[in-house]
Amino acid sequence: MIQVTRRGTEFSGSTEVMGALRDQFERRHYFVLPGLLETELLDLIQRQIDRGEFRERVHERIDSNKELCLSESAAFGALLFLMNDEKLFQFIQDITQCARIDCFEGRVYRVNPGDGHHDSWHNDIGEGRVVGMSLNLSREVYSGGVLQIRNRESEALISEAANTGSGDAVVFRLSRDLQHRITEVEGSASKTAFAGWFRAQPNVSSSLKESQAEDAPFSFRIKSRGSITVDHLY
Amino acid sequence: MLAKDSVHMKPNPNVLFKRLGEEMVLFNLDTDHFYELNGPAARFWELLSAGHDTAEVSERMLDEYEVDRDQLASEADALLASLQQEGLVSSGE
Repeated sequence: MIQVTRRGTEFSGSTEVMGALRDQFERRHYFVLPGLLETELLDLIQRQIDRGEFRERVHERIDSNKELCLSESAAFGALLFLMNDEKLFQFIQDITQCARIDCFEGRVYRVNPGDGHHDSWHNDIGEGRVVGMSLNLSREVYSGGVLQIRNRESEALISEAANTGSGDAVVFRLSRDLQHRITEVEGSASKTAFAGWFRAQPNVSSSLKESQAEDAPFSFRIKSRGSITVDHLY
Repeated sequence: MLAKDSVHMKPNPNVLFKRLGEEMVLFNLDTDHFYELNGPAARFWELLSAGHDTAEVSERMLDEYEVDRDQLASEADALLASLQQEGLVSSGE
């Protein structure tokens, strides 16, 4: 339906499928995009992740939480490059009816079963975040690691989304009335994901592209811009 | 060179690319570097990555742009040299 490829984002969804996703998001506050990352690209990214270094990280703004986080690497740069895409932004806006999206910010995290990695209920609201997304980059099918969404006030569980297909993504609503968390990973396989938020600002396209269209005499120009880091989002 | 010698330069499969308006942004996973190509260079990359050899790219661009053959050949040679140096393309031989 929508797939992020080496050549850019490709969309082939029908009105019916779009309608079903809208309905699912309206009722359950999430939807799954199977195969969002094409297999060839997924393999490239996974190989880069294998070369990277993970460090333990505790999110101080979340009550109780611990995970491994990938240090900045080519895999991280590539994922920022790929997910900051106008076509993907438009697709997410169409389904979720959220405010205009101008960037995606995320991190690659890993949770190992039995290592005390865990998450707590939170809502991720703030800093212009409008919709959440988690892209599964795990090589193996893991157990647990399920996204749960609940009503903040009543604490009633609304939805559970297992996202165990490699290259699949789960997109979920951010709201002051809702909270979410990821359940503990069990069994023997780790979970690795690129998770983050579509945000209302800043405009990442203008950060990735320095030049403006010009009416100059014919010439070919290539400009080297170094590594892509989170700084390119600001 | 481009008009008479057909060279098959292939984009490195570890290079990701996307069009942003007139420009093309490339990201090389091997080096963790990204690049920006201006309008004509973006079109050159687009045609090259569609599988055309350099002679075909040259002919298409002569049709699409107001440029003479010698200038196009000279610009293309310089661009290909840069792309090769940065590991963004390699000879398909």
